[in-house]
Amino acid sequence: MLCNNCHKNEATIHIQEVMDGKKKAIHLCASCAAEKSQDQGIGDFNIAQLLYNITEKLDLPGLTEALQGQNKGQPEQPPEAGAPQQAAEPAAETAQPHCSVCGWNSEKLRQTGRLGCPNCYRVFRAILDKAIPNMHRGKTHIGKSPAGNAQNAAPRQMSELMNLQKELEIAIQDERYEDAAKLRDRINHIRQNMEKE
Amino acid sequence: MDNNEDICKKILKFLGQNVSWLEASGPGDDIAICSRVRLARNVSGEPFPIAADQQQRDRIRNSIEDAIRTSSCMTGKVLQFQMDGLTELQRQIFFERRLISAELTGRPQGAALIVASDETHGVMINEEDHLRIQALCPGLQLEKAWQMADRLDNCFAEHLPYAYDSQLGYLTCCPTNVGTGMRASVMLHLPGLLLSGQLSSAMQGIRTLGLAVRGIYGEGTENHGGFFQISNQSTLGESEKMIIDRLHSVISQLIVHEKNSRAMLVEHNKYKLLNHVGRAYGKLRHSYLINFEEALNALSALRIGVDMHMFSSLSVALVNELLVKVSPAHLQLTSGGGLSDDELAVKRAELIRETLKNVEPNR
Repeated sequence: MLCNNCHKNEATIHIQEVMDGKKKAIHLCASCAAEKSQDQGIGDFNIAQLLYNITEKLDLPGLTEALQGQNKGQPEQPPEAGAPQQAAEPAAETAQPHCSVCGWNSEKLRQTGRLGCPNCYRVFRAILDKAIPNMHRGKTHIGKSPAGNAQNAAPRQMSELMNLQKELEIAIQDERYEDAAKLRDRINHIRQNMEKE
Repeated sequence: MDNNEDICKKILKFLGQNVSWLEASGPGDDIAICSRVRLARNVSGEPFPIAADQQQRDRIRNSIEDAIRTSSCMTGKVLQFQMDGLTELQRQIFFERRLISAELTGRPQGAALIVASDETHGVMINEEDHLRIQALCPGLQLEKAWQMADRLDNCFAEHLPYAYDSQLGYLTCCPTNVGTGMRASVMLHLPGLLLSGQLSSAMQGIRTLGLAVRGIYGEGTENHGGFFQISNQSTLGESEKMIIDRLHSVISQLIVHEKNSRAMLVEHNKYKLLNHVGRAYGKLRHSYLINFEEALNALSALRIGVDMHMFSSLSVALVNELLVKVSPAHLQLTSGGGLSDDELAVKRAELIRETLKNVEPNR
């Protein structure tokens, strides 16, 4: 069988791919496979660098400067989509995105390629909207979701338990031992309920 | 918490058991060694481990441990190890058994491993994500591994408020995992493609399809014995079933290619192949010093010999077991620890000679 790409050499790589539920067979010779792999830039890549390159291209007001270590200590200002048109404006009044929940900023995102908490997906949305299509086959999740999460009482109990534990830690730090004792009772009560269920 | 002596005993007992996903035979197990599905999950409203302080990580660990204790998510005999209570060597053991990632061996604060005693499924706590659910099956059984991981995930979802977004799916620390949070992988042994010089073009083809290929011992170990791990890269825009089906279909094709190249070698280069296996056998039976990479390459050749029916008294499962036992941390721990590289090489050669002492090639 001849290569589907150059139609000259014998195809030595035969791969079947399932896309949109349909099977598609690809037959390539070694040199076309190597060429295609390079063309498409697929292979191991550095996520942090990829995010950095994308944020550079995005040229959000102030963001590029922020990523270069300038413009530090500005207050939080979540980025807006469609910002590239405003990029020519002076960036003096703008700031780098900063997550108020976990303290993550675009510099940390650039260094690690990682986010700090679930809320970061909202804060760094403009960067991620550009980066995600380069990482994945689509932009929208079509897989499973947490089953019965809305109806089930147990995750809510766990959530309450974790909030109470946070409050307990703060109460102990502040030496409010009476409050801490009450919180501990409440935590034990929820734990007992969960074990009964 | 267990003291160090208890931990050592627990780990040595654990090492005494056979690894079920290496031992049991699965479909295509001469080429596909094992299939793994891993799901990344996080608790809503909490910082990911990378941004969390010790207190926050402890809280996450407690809540996941509570969920396991108060649910039927992980029934049967379960072993629990807190990573910061282990030495680096002990953590390395779990890495070599594919139970934790390389990352977890180096950053243990607040991290834990909870694993079924047969090692078929388990969870990592506070690795890159709060929770990583993992299921392992022998051979090419991605669908079965997915079903196991899915069942565990459904159970945890009843007890933990997951960070989930209707558009982006499960929110993960690294955006390369967002969506399904699923990484499905198969560990493969492809010496036929390696020996016939077709390996790099096959790997390029696999990468062209958006799948990741790496050596099983991490980046840069691609040529060690022809052992590879192939996994999906994209986790968003396809359902779990679509990802599994695509990976399964590509790997099935790759297995056909591997079988063909082995058959071609037998037909056209029989003596080259016999020589390759025979020399490896000689090295394994008669070495007094052997380093890990050398052992890996020789055991890889022995594994082809078993497949070619060259050794009737040797099974693929025994070679697989040796592959784990000669790994640096396993050997170091079972030898009592503190050995230099040369001393380890002596121990490794001893172990191999002893294990293979009654194995003779068919005449």
